[in-house]
Amino acid sequence: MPTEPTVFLVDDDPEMLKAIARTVAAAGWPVQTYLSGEEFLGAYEPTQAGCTVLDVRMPRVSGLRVQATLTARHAHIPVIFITGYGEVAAAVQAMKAGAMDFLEKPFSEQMLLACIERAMAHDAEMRQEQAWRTTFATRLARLTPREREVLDLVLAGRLNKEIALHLAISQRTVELHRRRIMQKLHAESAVDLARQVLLAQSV
Amino acid sequence: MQDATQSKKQLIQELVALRQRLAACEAVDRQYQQTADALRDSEARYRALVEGSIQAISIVMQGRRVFANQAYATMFGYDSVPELLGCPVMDRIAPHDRDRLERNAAALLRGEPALTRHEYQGVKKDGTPLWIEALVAPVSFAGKTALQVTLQDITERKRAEAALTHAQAELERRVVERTAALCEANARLVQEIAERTRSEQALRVSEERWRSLVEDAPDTILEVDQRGTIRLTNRGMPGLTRAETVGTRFLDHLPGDQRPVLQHAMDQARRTSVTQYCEIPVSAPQGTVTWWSYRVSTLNRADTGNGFLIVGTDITVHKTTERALRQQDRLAAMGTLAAGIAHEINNPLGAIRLAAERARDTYTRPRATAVTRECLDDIIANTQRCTRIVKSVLDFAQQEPGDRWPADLNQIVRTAVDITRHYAEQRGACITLALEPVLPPLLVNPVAIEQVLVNLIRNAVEAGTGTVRVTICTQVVAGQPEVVIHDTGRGIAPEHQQHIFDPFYTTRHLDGGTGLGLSLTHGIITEHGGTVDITSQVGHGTTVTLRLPVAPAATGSPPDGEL
Repeated sequence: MPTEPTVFLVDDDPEMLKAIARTVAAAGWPVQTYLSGEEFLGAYEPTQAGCTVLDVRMPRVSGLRVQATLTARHAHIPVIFITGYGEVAAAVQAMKAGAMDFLEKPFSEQMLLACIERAMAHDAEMRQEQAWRTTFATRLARLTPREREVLDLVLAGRLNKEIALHLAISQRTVELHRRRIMQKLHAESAVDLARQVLLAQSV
Repeated sequence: MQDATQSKKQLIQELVALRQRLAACEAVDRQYQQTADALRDSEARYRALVEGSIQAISIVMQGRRVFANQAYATMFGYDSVPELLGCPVMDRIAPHDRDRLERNAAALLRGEPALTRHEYQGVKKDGTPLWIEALVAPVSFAGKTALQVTLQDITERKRAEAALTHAQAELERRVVERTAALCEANARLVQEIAERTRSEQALRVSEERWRSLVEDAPDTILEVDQRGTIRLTNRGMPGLTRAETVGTRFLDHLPGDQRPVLQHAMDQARRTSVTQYCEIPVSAPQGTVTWWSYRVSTLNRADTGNGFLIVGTDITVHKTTERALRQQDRLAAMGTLAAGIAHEINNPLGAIRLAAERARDTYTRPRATAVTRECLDDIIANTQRCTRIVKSVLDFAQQEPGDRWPADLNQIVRTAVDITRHYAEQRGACITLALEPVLPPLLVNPVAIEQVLVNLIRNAVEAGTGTVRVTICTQVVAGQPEVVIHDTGRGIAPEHQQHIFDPFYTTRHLDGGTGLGLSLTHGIITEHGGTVDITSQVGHGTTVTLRLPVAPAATGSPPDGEL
């Protein structure tokens, strides 16, 4: 399994698979090809960055089944569907299940690559955000219980004076806690602190 | 001393008198003794009589038992009589009977009119109840007034009486029940008779209706015996009256070249007991052609023996419509295949487009000629693939079966399987081929037969919801090539089997079935002079056998050799 962001191609038609792989590779993306959904699902690790290009109609395991299996495995890799002919029902289902795009064969190089660009960017963004979330969670865990209390009150919009009164400590101590919190969470201002916490809380 | 003499005489006299008196005394004494003995005997006899009596006897004085015999003791469960004597007599009488008996006894003793016979419940020493019948009479006992009671144990009698009463009640209940049942049965019978009368009436009406249905039916309905002689018909055959028609041979009324078709249908019907369907063209002398369908089923009549029921219908109008619809059906079949075709053709098209774009971008670059060449090769290969797909679609959509030429059945089967493989895979069905390596060549229109096979394979694939296994094998039976398509699907219900080749008969209206597929198959195969047999078992699958004509060269006899 490659570690750099890769385009995973799944199509039961070897000719089509070959043509797409050539196009994608020419655009500079690492490519992995699979002739069936089972083959792909057997090889793919959810931590692997990139995007998948999935044929809708494949014998045994259809593209939609592959997508459902990925979701069940919490593999949030973006999916671009390609199909031999416009199945409206399948397209609707795929998009509802979170597919990035739905391309009808024969599609142009430009259309395919635009979709792949978008999907790769989306994946990179998602993974970056996920990485930041993990970092932030670690930083948050470093706060002392008292610092957590102060943070909660700061986020609730209380003034230092009020916090001091509420926790029965001196205003100076509150200021000291605040500075510590800002340092530990790498926040530049109270507004930045609030933004970071909100971002971490959103799913 | 005179006195002394006198006295001596007197003394003797006195002595004699004394002796006489003594004798008299002795006699009296003896008599008394005898009487006493007699009395004693008599008393003993009576006592023995009383004491030994099997009837229980007791004498009651002032409420206490002063005498009782052994039978009495036994009756109440005592070992000996003395235990009982002196005891209150009421002890051995059930509490609820005591008052009544006591009052009665008092009345008797006072000499007032009272009952002398009683039935009451006694109590044995161990508490067991018993039924007693007692006769009570006042007697003088040891100079005093007492009551003599003679008892009899009537427990058994009472029990028998109770049983009898119960039996009687049971009997009465049964009689009541039986009477009710009889009443009900009677009512039912009356109703049944009414119903039967009604149904008889209905039967008459029904018979009349059926008769008119048969006689006025637009179809020709014939009853034909085993040898093919017409026994009954609702109309005369062409040129004959009804009466004249009966007794003629059925096949004689058909065009000579169509007789084998009907003969085959009759043989098949007899062999399989499945209604056979066939369609034949009949040329009128004026040159017009009418089409007739014949349904042949077996009849098992107790009176006239086995035979056939043959229903002939003029289907000329149907045939005309059918011909038009066949084209539509072909289009419909194409429609259902269109998805598969689109998928098939858009893959090479997609590959061509991408390869062409790649070639366009690379051909000017100096070191990319290899890539350009590869792209162009792929384009050519995929174009050829498109051509192949288009050809098979065209073949499928071709017009009426045209000319016939020698063809290999195995090749036709392979093409049909290639066309349907994608569809089968989509449905999760699995097709297995078992082809006889060498087959005599057929004289057919291969495209038409291919169409028939595609149709039959699609039916087989659609025959089940799970994984249907479809086996297609070719073989030669009695010199004639056959193709057998077997599926492991749900099978065809018997009620549908007899209509299987009827035009417009379908169980899949909802899925867009037109009911023409098998009709078309049947039409094409019979036009070729072949036969279609379908056997099916619900839950086990269906087997379709196509028998096809061989090319004349292979049989070594000209086609008209038998005429």
